[in-house]
Amino acid sequence: MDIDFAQMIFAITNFLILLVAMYFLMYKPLKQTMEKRHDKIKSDIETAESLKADADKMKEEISAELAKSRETAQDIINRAQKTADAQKEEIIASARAEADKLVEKANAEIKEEKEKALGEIRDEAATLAISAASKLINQSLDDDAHKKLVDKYIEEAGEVQ
Amino acid sequence: MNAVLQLASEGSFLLGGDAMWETSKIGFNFSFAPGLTKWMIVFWGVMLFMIVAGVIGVRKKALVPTGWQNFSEWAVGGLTNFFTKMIGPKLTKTFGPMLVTFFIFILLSNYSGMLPLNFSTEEGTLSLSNLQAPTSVFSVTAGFALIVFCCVHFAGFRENKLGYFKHLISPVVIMLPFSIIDEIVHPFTLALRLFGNIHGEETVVEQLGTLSVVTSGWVPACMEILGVLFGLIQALIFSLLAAIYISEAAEHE
Repeated sequence: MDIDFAQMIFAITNFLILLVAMYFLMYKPLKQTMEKRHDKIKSDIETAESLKADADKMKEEISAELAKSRETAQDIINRAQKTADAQKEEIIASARAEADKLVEKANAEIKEEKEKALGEIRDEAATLAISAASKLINQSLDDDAHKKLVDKYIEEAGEVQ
Repeated sequence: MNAVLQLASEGSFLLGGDAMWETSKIGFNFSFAPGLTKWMIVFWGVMLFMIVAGVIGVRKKALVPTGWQNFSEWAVGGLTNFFTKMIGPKLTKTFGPMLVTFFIFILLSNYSGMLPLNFSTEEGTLSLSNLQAPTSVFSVTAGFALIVFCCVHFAGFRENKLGYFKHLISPVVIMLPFSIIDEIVHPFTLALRLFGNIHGEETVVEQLGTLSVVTSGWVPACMEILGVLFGLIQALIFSLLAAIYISEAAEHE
Protein backbone atom coordinates (compact mmCIF):
# COMPACT_ATOMS: atom_id res chain seq x y z
CA MET A 1 0.00 0.00 0.00
CA ASP A 2 2.99 2.23 -0.43
CA ILE A 3 2.69 5.35 -2.52
CA ASP A 4 4.61 5.54 -5.76
CA PHE A 5 5.06 9.26 -6.32
CA ALA A 6 5.56 8.85 -10.05
CA GLN A 7 2.20 7.07 -10.26
CA MET A 8 0.59 9.69 -8.06
CA ILE A 9 1.87 12.44 -10.31
CA PHE A 10 0.62 10.44 -13.32
CA ALA A 11 -2.85 10.24 -11.73
CA ILE A 12 -2.93 13.92 -10.75
CA THR A 13 -1.69 15.13 -14.13
CA ASN A 14 -4.06 12.94 -16.09
CA PHE A 15 -6.98 13.86 -13.91
CA LEU A 16 -6.24 17.56 -14.37
CA ILE A 17 -5.99 17.02 -18.14
CA LEU A 18 -9.32 15.19 -18.03
CA LEU A 19 -10.84 17.97 -15.93
CA VAL A 20 -9.73 20.68 -18.35
CA ALA A 21 -10.86 18.63 -21.36
CA MET A 22 -14.23 17.86 -19.78
CA TYR A 23 -14.68 21.47 -18.74
CA PHE A 24 -14.10 22.91 -22.19
CA LEU A 25 -15.47 20.06 -24.32
CA MET A 26 -18.50 19.12 -22.30
CA TYR A 27 -19.29 21.08 -19.19
CA LYS A 28 -19.16 24.57 -20.66
CA PRO A 29 -21.08 23.89 -23.92
CA LEU A 30 -23.61 21.79 -22.02
CA LYS A 31 -24.15 24.60 -19.56
CA GLN A 32 -24.50 27.09 -22.40
CA THR A 33 -27.05 24.91 -24.13
CA MET A 34 -28.99 24.47 -20.91
CA GLU A 35 -28.87 28.19 -20.16
CA LYS A 36 -30.02 28.97 -23.69
CA ARG A 37 -32.90 26.57 -23.25
CA HIS A 38 -33.67 28.07 -19.85
CA ASP A 39 -33.76 31.56 -21.38
CA LYS A 40 -35.88 30.39 -24.28
CA ILE A 41 -38.40 28.68 -22.04
CA LYS A 42 -38.51 31.74 -19.80
CA SER A 43 -39.07 34.10 -22.70
CA ASP A 44 -41.61 31.71 -24.20
CA ILE A 45 -43.55 31.65 -20.95
CA GLU A 46 -43.39 35.42 -20.70
CA THR A 47 -44.60 35.79 -24.26
CA ALA A 48 -47.40 33.33 -23.63
CA GLU A 49 -48.42 35.23 -20.50
CA SER A 50 -48.47 38.59 -22.27
CA LEU A 51 -50.37 37.03 -25.17
CA LYS A 52 -52.87 35.61 -22.73
CA ALA A 53 -53.29 38.99 -21.07
CA ASP A 54 -53.81 40.56 -24.48
CA ALA A 55 -56.32 37.88 -25.38
CA ASP A 56 -58.20 38.39 -22.11
CA LYS A 57 -58.32 42.13 -22.69
CA MET A 58 -59.47 41.60 -26.25
CA LYS A 59 -62.09 39.15 -25.10
CA GLU A 60 -63.45 41.67 -22.64
CA GLU A 61 -63.49 44.36 -25.29
CA ILE A 62 -65.21 42.08 -27.73
CA SER A 63 -67.86 41.02 -25.25
CA ALA A 64 -68.51 44.66 -24.35
CA GLU A 65 -68.74 45.50 -28.01
CA LEU A 66 -71.04 42.55 -28.56
CA ALA A 67 -73.37 43.67 -25.79
CA LYS A 68 -73.43 47.15 -27.26
CA SER A 69 -74.14 45.77 -30.72
CA ARG A 70 -76.91 43.62 -29.34
CA GLU A 71 -78.46 46.67 -27.69
CA THR A 72 -78.23 48.66 -30.89
CA ALA A 73 -79.75 45.83 -32.86
CA GLN A 74 -82.63 45.58 -30.38
CA ASP A 75 -83.11 49.31 -30.69
CA ILE A 76 -83.22 49.12 -34.45
CA ILE A 77 -85.69 46.25 -34.33
CA ASN A 78 -87.91 48.15 -31.91
CA ARG A 79 -87.87 51.23 -34.05
CA ALA A 80 -88.62 49.23 -37.18
CA GLN A 81 -91.46 47.53 -35.38
CA LYS A 82 -92.91 50.87 -34.41
CA THR A 83 -92.56 52.28 -37.90
CA ALA A 84 -94.12 49.18 -39.36
CA ASP A 85 -97.05 49.41 -36.95
CA ALA A 86 -97.58 53.06 -37.80
CA GLN A 87 -97.42 52.32 -41.50
CA LYS A 88 -99.83 49.45 -41.07
CA GLU A 89 -102.34 51.68 -39.33
CA GLU A 90 -101.96 54.29 -42.02
CA ILE A 91 -102.39 51.81 -44.83
CA ILE A 92 -105.42 50.24 -43.21
CA ALA A 93 -106.99 53.66 -42.61
CA SER A 94 -106.42 54.82 -46.16
CA ALA A 95 -107.72 51.54 -47.53
CA ARG A 96 -110.81 51.85 -45.39
CA ALA A 97 -111.37 55.42 -46.57
CA GLU A 98 -110.95 54.37 -50.15
CA ALA A 99 -113.38 51.55 -49.70
CA ASP A 100 -115.94 53.85 -48.05
CA LYS A 101 -115.58 56.31 -50.90
CA LEU A 102 -116.06 53.55 -53.45
CA VAL A 103 -119.11 52.23 -51.64
CA GLU A 104 -120.60 55.73 -51.42
CA LYS A 105 -119.99 56.31 -55.10
CA ALA A 106 -121.51 53.00 -56.00
CA ASN A 107 -124.54 53.75 -53.86
CA ALA A 108 -124.97 57.16 -55.51
CA GLU A 109 -124.73 55.59 -58.95
CA ILE A 110 -127.22 52.92 -58.02
CA LYS A 111 -129.66 55.56 -56.74
CA GLU A 112 -129.27 57.67 -59.87
CA GLU A 113 -129.75 54.65 -62.11
CA LYS A 114 -132.83 53.74 -60.10
CA GLU A 115 -134.27 57.22 -60.48
CA LYS A 116 -133.57 57.15 -64.18
CA ALA A 117 -135.13 53.75 -64.60
CA LEU A 118 -138.20 54.77 -62.64
CA GLY A 119 -138.65 57.84 -64.82
CA GLU A 120 -138.35 55.84 -67.97
CA ILE A 121 -140.81 53.26 -66.67
CA ARG A 122 -143.23 56.04 -65.79
CA ASP A 123 -143.04 57.53 -69.28
CA GLU A 124 -143.33 54.13 -70.88
CA ALA A 125 -146.31 53.31 -68.70
CA ALA A 126 -148.03 56.58 -69.68
CA THR A 127 -147.51 55.93 -73.35
CA LEU A 128 -148.72 52.35 -73.01
CA ALA A 129 -151.71 53.49 -71.01
CA ILE A 130 -152.60 56.10 -73.58
CA SER A 131 -152.38 53.71 -76.47
CA ALA A 132 -154.22 51.04 -74.54
CA ALA A 133 -156.93 53.45 -73.53
CA SER A 134 -157.37 54.86 -77.02
CA LYS A 135 -157.65 51.36 -78.34
CA LEU A 136 -160.14 50.35 -75.62
CA ILE A 137 -162.56 53.26 -75.68
CA ASN A 138 -161.89 53.94 -79.32
CA GLN A 139 -162.96 57.48 -78.89
CA SER A 140 -161.02 60.67 -78.97
CA LEU A 141 -160.85 62.74 -75.86
CA ASP A 142 -159.93 66.28 -75.54
CA ASP A 143 -156.55 67.04 -74.28
CA ASP A 144 -157.71 68.04 -70.78
CA ALA A 145 -159.83 64.95 -70.32
CA HIS A 146 -157.00 62.90 -71.73
CA LYS A 147 -154.48 64.28 -69.35
CA LYS A 148 -156.76 63.90 -66.36
CA LEU A 149 -157.20 60.29 -67.18
CA VAL A 150 -153.51 59.66 -67.59
CA ASP A 151 -152.65 61.29 -64.30
CA LYS A 152 -155.29 59.26 -62.55
CA TYR A 153 -153.85 56.13 -64.03
CA ILE A 154 -150.37 56.97 -63.01
CA GLU A 155 -151.47 57.71 -59.53
CA GLU A 156 -153.14 54.36 -59.36
CA ALA A 157 -150.02 52.72 -60.78
CA GLY A 158 -147.89 54.51 -58.23
CA GLU A 159 -150.14 53.40 -55.44
CA VAL A 160 -150.04 49.84 -56.65
CA GLN A 161 -146.29 49.99 -56.78
CA MET B 1 -4.09 -5.69 4.52
CA ASN B 2 -0.52 -6.43 3.50
CA ALA B 3 -1.11 -10.10 4.02
CA VAL B 4 -4.06 -9.95 1.63
CA LEU B 5 -1.98 -8.14 -0.93
CA GLN B 6 0.81 -10.64 -0.55
CA LEU B 7 -1.62 -13.46 -1.12
CA ALA B 8 -3.11 -11.70 -4.08
CA SER B 9 0.18 -11.02 -5.78
CA GLU B 10 1.07 -14.68 -5.60
CA GLY B 11 -1.97 -15.71 -7.60
CA SER B 12 -2.14 -16.27 -11.30
CA PHE B 13 -3.19 -12.66 -11.88
CA LEU B 14 -1.49 -9.37 -11.45
CA LEU B 15 -2.41 -7.00 -8.71
CA GLY B 16 -0.98 -4.00 -6.97
CA GLY B 17 -0.02 -0.55 -8.11
CA ASP B 18 3.20 -1.47 -9.84
CA ALA B 19 2.29 -4.70 -11.55
CA MET B 20 3.78 -4.70 -15.01
CA TRP B 21 1.85 -5.70 -18.10
CA GLU B 22 3.93 -8.73 -19.00
CA THR B 23 2.11 -9.90 -22.07
CA SER B 24 4.94 -9.75 -24.55
CA LYS B 25 3.99 -13.19 -25.83
CA ILE B 26 0.90 -11.84 -27.60
CA GLY B 27 2.51 -8.71 -28.82
CA PHE B 28 2.12 -6.18 -26.04
CA ASN B 29 5.48 -4.92 -24.97
CA PHE B 30 5.84 -1.75 -23.03
CA SER B 31 9.58 -1.91 -22.75
CA PHE B 32 9.69 1.54 -24.32
CA ALA B 33 7.89 2.89 -21.28
CA PRO B 34 9.08 0.86 -18.31
CA GLY B 35 6.92 2.67 -15.75
CA LEU B 36 3.71 2.05 -17.66
CA THR B 37 1.31 -0.25 -15.86
CA LYS B 38 -1.98 -1.82 -16.81
CA TRP B 39 -4.13 0.48 -14.75
CA MET B 40 -2.57 3.47 -16.53
CA ILE B 41 -3.91 2.15 -19.80
CA VAL B 42 -7.31 1.71 -18.13
CA PHE B 43 -7.00 5.26 -16.75
CA TRP B 44 -6.46 6.57 -20.26
CA GLY B 45 -9.25 4.39 -21.56
CA VAL B 46 -11.70 5.83 -19.06
CA MET B 47 -10.47 9.35 -19.87
CA LEU B 48 -10.89 8.74 -23.57
CA PHE B 49 -14.36 7.28 -23.04
CA MET B 50 -15.45 10.26 -20.96
CA ILE B 51 -14.12 12.81 -23.42
CA VAL B 52 -15.60 11.05 -26.46
CA ALA B 53 -18.94 10.50 -24.73
CA GLY B 54 -18.95 14.09 -23.56
CA VAL B 55 -18.17 15.48 -26.99
CA ILE B 56 -20.88 13.31 -28.57
CA GLY B 57 -23.27 14.42 -25.84
CA VAL B 58 -22.86 18.14 -26.46
CA ARG B 59 -22.17 18.00 -30.20
CA LYS B 60 -25.68 18.84 -31.35
CA LYS B 61 -26.58 21.56 -28.85
CA ALA B 62 -30.23 21.04 -29.70
CA LEU B 63 -32.77 23.06 -27.74
CA VAL B 64 -34.91 19.96 -27.48
CA PRO B 65 -32.43 17.32 -26.37
CA THR B 66 -32.71 13.74 -27.59
CA GLY B 67 -30.79 10.54 -27.04
CA TRP B 68 -27.25 10.85 -25.79
CA GLN B 69 -27.51 14.61 -25.39
CA ASN B 70 -30.48 14.07 -23.11
CA PHE B 71 -28.52 11.58 -21.04
CA SER B 72 -25.47 13.84 -20.80
CA GLU B 73 -27.58 16.78 -19.72
CA TRP B 74 -29.43 14.62 -17.24
CA ALA B 75 -26.19 13.29 -15.74
CA VAL B 76 -24.21 16.52 -15.63
CA GLY B 77 -27.20 18.72 -14.80
CA GLY B 78 -28.42 16.32 -12.13
CA LEU B 79 -25.00 16.08 -10.47
CA THR B 80 -24.51 19.84 -10.64
CA ASN B 81 -27.91 20.40 -9.03
CA PHE B 82 -27.05 17.82 -6.39
CA PHE B 83 -23.82 19.63 -5.49
CA THR B 84 -25.52 23.01 -5.65
CA LYS B 85 -27.98 21.82 -3.02
CA MET B 86 -25.10 20.51 -0.92
CA ILE B 87 -22.61 23.38 -1.01
CA GLY B 88 -24.43 26.29 -2.60
CA PRO B 89 -24.23 27.88 -6.02
CA LYS B 90 -21.06 29.92 -5.46
CA LEU B 91 -18.82 26.99 -4.56
CA THR B 92 -20.47 24.83 -7.21
CA LYS B 93 -19.54 27.40 -9.83
CA THR B 94 -15.86 26.90 -8.97
CA PHE B 95 -15.70 23.28 -7.88
CA GLY B 96 -18.79 21.79 -9.55
CA PRO B 97 -17.01 20.65 -12.72
CA MET B 98 -14.26 19.05 -10.66
CA LEU B 99 -16.71 17.23 -8.39
CA VAL B 100 -18.79 16.05 -11.36
CA THR B 101 -15.66 14.85 -13.13
CA PHE B 102 -14.50 13.10 -9.94
CA PHE B 103 -17.83 11.33 -9.62
CA ILE B 104 -18.02 10.17 -13.23
CA PHE B 105 -14.37 9.23 -13.42
CA ILE B 106 -14.38 7.25 -10.18
CA LEU B 107 -17.65 5.55 -11.14
CA LEU B 108 -16.36 4.49 -14.55
CA SER B 109 -13.01 3.50 -13.07
CA ASN B 110 -14.69 1.33 -10.48
CA TYR B 111 -16.77 -0.32 -13.19
CA SER B 112 -13.81 -0.72 -15.50
CA GLY B 113 -12.46 -3.21 -12.96
CA MET B 114 -15.32 -5.53 -13.91
CA LEU B 115 -14.50 -5.73 -17.60
CA PRO B 116 -12.86 -9.06 -18.37
CA LEU B 117 -10.50 -7.63 -20.96
CA ASN B 118 -7.18 -8.42 -19.33
CA PHE B 119 -5.42 -10.79 -21.73
CA SER B 120 -2.64 -12.85 -20.33
CA THR B 121 -0.77 -15.86 -21.66
CA GLU B 122 0.49 -17.44 -18.53
CA GLU B 123 1.68 -21.02 -18.89
CA GLY B 124 1.14 -20.91 -22.61
CA THR B 125 -2.67 -20.56 -22.56
CA LEU B 126 -4.54 -17.36 -23.28
CA SER B 127 -6.72 -16.39 -20.37
CA LEU B 128 -8.98 -13.46 -19.59
CA SER B 129 -9.24 -11.77 -16.27
CA ASN B 130 -10.73 -8.52 -15.06
CA LEU B 131 -8.98 -5.26 -15.72
CA GLN B 132 -7.37 -3.48 -12.84
CA ALA B 133 -9.40 -0.41 -11.88
CA PRO B 134 -7.27 2.73 -11.49
CA THR B 135 -9.17 3.46 -8.29
CA SER B 136 -7.85 0.24 -6.75
CA VAL B 137 -4.37 1.74 -6.76
CA PHE B 138 -3.53 3.71 -3.65
CA SER B 139 -1.26 6.09 -5.53
CA VAL B 140 -4.19 7.16 -7.68
CA THR B 141 -6.65 7.67 -4.85
CA ALA B 142 -3.95 9.48 -2.88
CA GLY B 143 -3.41 11.74 -5.88
CA PHE B 144 -7.13 12.47 -6.05
CA ALA B 145 -7.19 13.15 -2.31
CA LEU B 146 -4.27 15.53 -2.73
CA ILE B 147 -6.28 17.45 -5.35
CA VAL B 148 -9.20 17.61 -2.91
CA PHE B 149 -6.83 18.71 -0.12
CA CYS B 150 -5.57 21.59 -2.27
CA CYS B 151 -9.11 22.57 -3.25
CA VAL B 152 -10.31 22.53 0.35
CA HIS B 153 -7.63 24.95 1.49
CA PHE B 154 -7.91 27.05 -1.65
CA ALA B 155 -11.65 27.41 -1.02
CA GLY B 156 -11.09 28.21 2.66
CA PHE B 157 -8.44 30.78 1.91
CA ARG B 158 -10.44 32.36 -0.91
CA GLU B 159 -13.56 32.76 1.21
CA ASN B 160 -11.99 33.79 4.53
CA LYS B 161 -8.58 35.19 3.50
CA LEU B 162 -6.00 34.94 6.30
CA GLY B 163 -8.74 34.48 8.88
CA TYR B 164 -9.04 30.95 7.51
CA PHE B 165 -5.95 29.83 9.41
CA LYS B 166 -7.48 30.94 12.69
CA HIS B 167 -9.53 27.76 12.82
CA LEU B 168 -6.29 25.81 13.36
CA ILE B 169 -5.73 27.45 16.75
CA SER B 170 -9.31 27.69 17.90
CA PRO B 171 -10.48 27.45 20.59
CA VAL B 172 -6.95 27.33 22.08
CA VAL B 173 -3.49 27.40 20.58
CA ILE B 174 -2.69 23.98 21.95
CA MET B 175 -5.14 22.50 19.47
CA LEU B 176 -2.78 23.35 16.60
CA PRO B 177 -1.15 19.92 16.17
CA PHE B 178 -4.49 18.17 16.43
CA SER B 179 -6.05 20.51 13.92
CA ILE B 180 -3.20 19.85 11.52
CA ILE B 181 -3.64 16.10 11.97
CA ASP B 182 -7.36 16.59 11.38
CA GLU B 183 -6.70 18.43 8.14
CA ILE B 184 -4.40 15.67 6.92
CA VAL B 185 -6.58 12.81 8.08
CA HIS B 186 -9.58 14.04 6.09
CA PRO B 187 -8.08 13.55 2.63
CA PHE B 188 -6.15 10.52 3.85
CA THR B 189 -9.36 8.75 4.80
CA LEU B 190 -10.83 9.83 1.50
CA ALA B 191 -8.01 8.11 -0.39
CA LEU B 192 -7.94 5.07 1.87
CA ARG B 193 -11.69 4.49 1.74
CA LEU B 194 -11.89 4.50 -2.02
CA PHE B 195 -8.76 2.40 -2.43
CA GLY B 196 -9.75 -0.09 0.24
CA ASN B 197 -13.24 -0.67 -1.05
CA ILE B 198 -12.37 -1.07 -4.70
CA HIS B 199 -9.14 -2.96 -4.13
CA GLY B 200 -10.84 -5.21 -1.61
CA GLU B 201 -13.73 -5.92 -3.93
CA GLU B 202 -11.39 -6.80 -6.78
CA THR B 203 -9.26 -8.98 -4.56
CA VAL B 204 -12.29 -10.85 -3.27
CA VAL B 205 -13.56 -11.46 -6.79
CA GLU B 206 -10.22 -12.77 -7.95
CA GLN B 207 -9.70 -14.94 -4.89
CA LEU B 208 -13.19 -16.41 -5.08
CA GLY B 209 -12.56 -17.22 -8.71
CA THR B 210 -9.52 -19.32 -7.82
CA LEU B 211 -11.01 -20.93 -4.75
CA SER B 212 -12.57 -24.03 -6.28
CA VAL B 213 -14.18 -25.19 -9.49
CA VAL B 214 -17.65 -25.31 -7.94
CA THR B 215 -17.66 -21.74 -6.72
CA SER B 216 -15.54 -20.19 -9.45
CA GLY B 217 -18.48 -19.10 -11.58
CA TRP B 218 -21.39 -17.82 -9.57
CA VAL B 219 -19.76 -16.64 -6.35
CA PRO B 220 -17.58 -14.05 -8.06
CA ALA B 221 -20.61 -13.12 -10.19
CA CYS B 222 -22.60 -12.35 -7.03
CA MET B 223 -19.66 -10.36 -5.75
CA GLU B 224 -19.56 -8.42 -9.02
CA ILE B 225 -23.22 -7.53 -8.62
CA LEU B 226 -22.40 -6.16 -5.18
CA GLY B 227 -19.45 -4.44 -6.79
CA VAL B 228 -21.81 -2.51 -9.06
CA LEU B 229 -23.41 -1.09 -5.93
CA PHE B 230 -20.07 -0.48 -4.20
CA GLY B 231 -18.70 1.29 -7.26
CA LEU B 232 -21.61 3.73 -7.28
CA ILE B 233 -21.54 4.26 -3.52
CA GLN B 234 -17.79 4.87 -3.40
CA ALA B 235 -17.93 7.34 -6.30
CA LEU B 236 -20.77 9.16 -4.57
CA ILE B 237 -19.05 9.14 -1.16
CA PHE B 238 -15.76 10.42 -2.54
CA SER B 239 -17.31 13.35 -4.42
CA LEU B 240 -19.81 14.06 -1.66
CA LEU B 241 -17.16 14.15 1.09
CA ALA B 242 -14.93 16.28 -1.10
CA ALA B 243 -17.84 18.70 -1.53
CA ILE B 244 -18.53 18.71 2.21
CA TYR B 245 -14.88 19.33 3.11
CA ILE B 246 -14.74 22.21 0.64
CA SER B 247 -17.92 23.79 1.95
CA GLU B 248 -16.78 23.33 5.56
CA ALA B 249 -13.53 25.12 4.81
CA ALA B 250 -15.34 27.89 2.95
CA GLU B 251 -17.84 28.46 5.75
CA HIS B 252 -15.30 28.80 8.52
CA GLU B 253 -15.90 31.21 11.41
